[in-house]
Amino acid sequence: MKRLSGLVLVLFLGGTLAVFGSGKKEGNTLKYWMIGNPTTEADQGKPADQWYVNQAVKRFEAKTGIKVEVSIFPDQSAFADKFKAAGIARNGPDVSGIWGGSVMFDNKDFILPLDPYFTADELSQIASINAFRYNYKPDGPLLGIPNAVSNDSLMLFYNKEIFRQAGISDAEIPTDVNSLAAACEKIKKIGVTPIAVGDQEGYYSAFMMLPLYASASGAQGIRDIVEGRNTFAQDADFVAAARVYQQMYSLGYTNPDVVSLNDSAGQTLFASGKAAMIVTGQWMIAAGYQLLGDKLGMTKWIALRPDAKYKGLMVGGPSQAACVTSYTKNPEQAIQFLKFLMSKEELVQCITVGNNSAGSTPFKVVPPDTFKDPFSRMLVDFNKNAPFSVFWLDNQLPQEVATELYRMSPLLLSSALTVDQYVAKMDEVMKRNILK
Amino acid sequence: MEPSATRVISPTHGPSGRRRLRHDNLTAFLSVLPMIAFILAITVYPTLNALFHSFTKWDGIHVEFIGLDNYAQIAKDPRFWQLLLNTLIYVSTVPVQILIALFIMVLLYEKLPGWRFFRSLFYLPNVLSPIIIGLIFRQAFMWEGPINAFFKANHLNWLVLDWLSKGPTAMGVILIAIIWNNFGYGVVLFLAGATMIDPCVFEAALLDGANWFQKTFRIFLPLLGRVIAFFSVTTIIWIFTGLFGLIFAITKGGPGYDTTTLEYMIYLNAFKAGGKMGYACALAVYLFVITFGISRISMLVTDRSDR
Repeated sequence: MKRLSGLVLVLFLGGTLAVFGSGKKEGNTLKYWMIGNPTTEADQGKPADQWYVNQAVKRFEAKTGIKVEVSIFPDQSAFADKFKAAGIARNGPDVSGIWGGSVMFDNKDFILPLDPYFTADELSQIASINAFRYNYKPDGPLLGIPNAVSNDSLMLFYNKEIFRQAGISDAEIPTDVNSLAAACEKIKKIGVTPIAVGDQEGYYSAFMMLPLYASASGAQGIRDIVEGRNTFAQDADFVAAARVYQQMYSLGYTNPDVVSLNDSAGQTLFASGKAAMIVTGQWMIAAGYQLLGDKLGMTKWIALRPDAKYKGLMVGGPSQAACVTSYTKNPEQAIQFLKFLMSKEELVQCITVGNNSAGSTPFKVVPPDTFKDPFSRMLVDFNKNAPFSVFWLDNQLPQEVATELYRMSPLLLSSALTVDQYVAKMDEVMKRNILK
Repeated sequence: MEPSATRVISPTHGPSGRRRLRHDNLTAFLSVLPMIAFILAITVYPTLNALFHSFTKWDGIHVEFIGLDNYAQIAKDPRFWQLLLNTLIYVSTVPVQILIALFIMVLLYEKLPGWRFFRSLFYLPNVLSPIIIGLIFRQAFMWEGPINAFFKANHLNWLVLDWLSKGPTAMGVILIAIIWNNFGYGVVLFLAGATMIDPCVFEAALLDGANWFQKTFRIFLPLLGRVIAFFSVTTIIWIFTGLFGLIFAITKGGPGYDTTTLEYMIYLNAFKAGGKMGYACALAVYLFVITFGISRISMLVTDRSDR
């Protein structure tokens, strides 16, 4: 009897602990998840207490008494998985970074629409705010605000020293497919890899192929495909862009291990001087300048043809959003934190402490001359003089289509798929995912 | 003087005995109840949950009952058959693992000098995380990795390949990783089985004039039949359900879907394809049925051969 009573008591205690013992600390603590490196590449060399984000959190805590717990997730590609899993389990953050476009739209059920919490005046201070409205519709719910002080811009980076050795003058810096091919042939002759590509994740189709397509079709081409008015196979510009992309590997203009090398290894290949060029976002500037110094050159990515309708366009925009989760128990405090981060004082701090390079910012309160480094000045000029700009094209695709694009990109590049097979596969997935 | 006969009363006989038995049974049941509840919560509940959602269109929040649509879509998807084939190719490593494990086990059984050290060494890959093993193999077989460096240094330039860029070679790397990861488990298992064989059997064989080869192949290995069968079944189940970490680290299922398995596809559909969680659950049910079927058939074959 004694034994039985003891056992029942243990079971009761155990059950009580299990039910109540795991309770979270609630109240004045916000959980904030950040994707990738803490704010900027420049932070990586500093001790954590000097990072912009940690300093900003201290200022917020001092001002409001609300504690913020920051978690940083360096693996950007796995972050979306984590965010979704946390959303289903309702144990994720209060405030989070999230990639715009299909990733954000796919997770909209876990994100709090922000329209009721921002005045029209506050929203008018943000350019390109519709980039974070559901399906980019002006009347769609606002799912986030830009999470980075700078707009991302796609650029062609090159090594000036290698160009000089190959005999490529400033006038011969590539602007279209023909001049790129000519430059690559010269670089090959001196035994250097012309273009660094790390396409294991498939992002280079978005960096290189889709912008080629956009230089001929503008922003409307991809919208027509996504909304069912056209197909990949029937769009001659898309097929042409896919063919050019494939030829870059078959003509030996890239490193031989494009399929197995990942994106960051590709950037390392360029930054270490083993390749002459790379096509990626302006986030390359910090690491590139650190390793290459004044040898680092930057220009716009090329057009599909010398007479392409949108030659000289800029591809980019606010890629990452800050959002509030729909299951947060502290929505007002989360919004308060968001508004703190987008205040003018904090944005200027983020630029000066974090040493961001950018040519434009989605926040109109930031004076354009806040970005002082030479590359930012170049980006400002590129953006000012660009005849056209278009938002990241892969972000405009439904997520299943974007995933298939990334998956098939290495097969297209390495000619494991013909262009016809590739567009057929893309159309097959697109048929299931037409956006209305 | 003879000891008096003493009537032994069984503790479970009679009314008080039965009461005691019931009491003991209740105590035992209550003792294991927390663990049973825990196991039910982490195995049976998710399984039933996945089975339910396999009949729905589910994105993690919204549920819409669609009957067998997911199952029909999977059966019609040409990728499904490719993934099944990929998995079966990985299963083909099982005989190779058995041969390697048996060979090493026979050497260890002879207790050659250093056998304890080698036993630990061969088991070491089995205790490493699959992610670690995957990263090791990925680095080794990269274009600039040590494997290609070795071939270049020895003028074997025709073997210098981008191993992970083409389906067949990428799959070959994963096959080697699977064998390396798991053969040590076979060694330890077979060794344990071997030590349970009565040494008298071998003594009798020696007396009858059996040589080493006859002793090994006509007596030793047949007696290990059950253990070998157990290793085969558990390894097949592991290949169907436990390769995610290896594949994620080495190729992420690429290039394309050339090294993707059914198990990996569940992850892709749940998290990468716009939240097709219901579809992913249906894939999981398919995987369960296939794995259960294969292990059942293996056990039936083993039982039959035993008879």
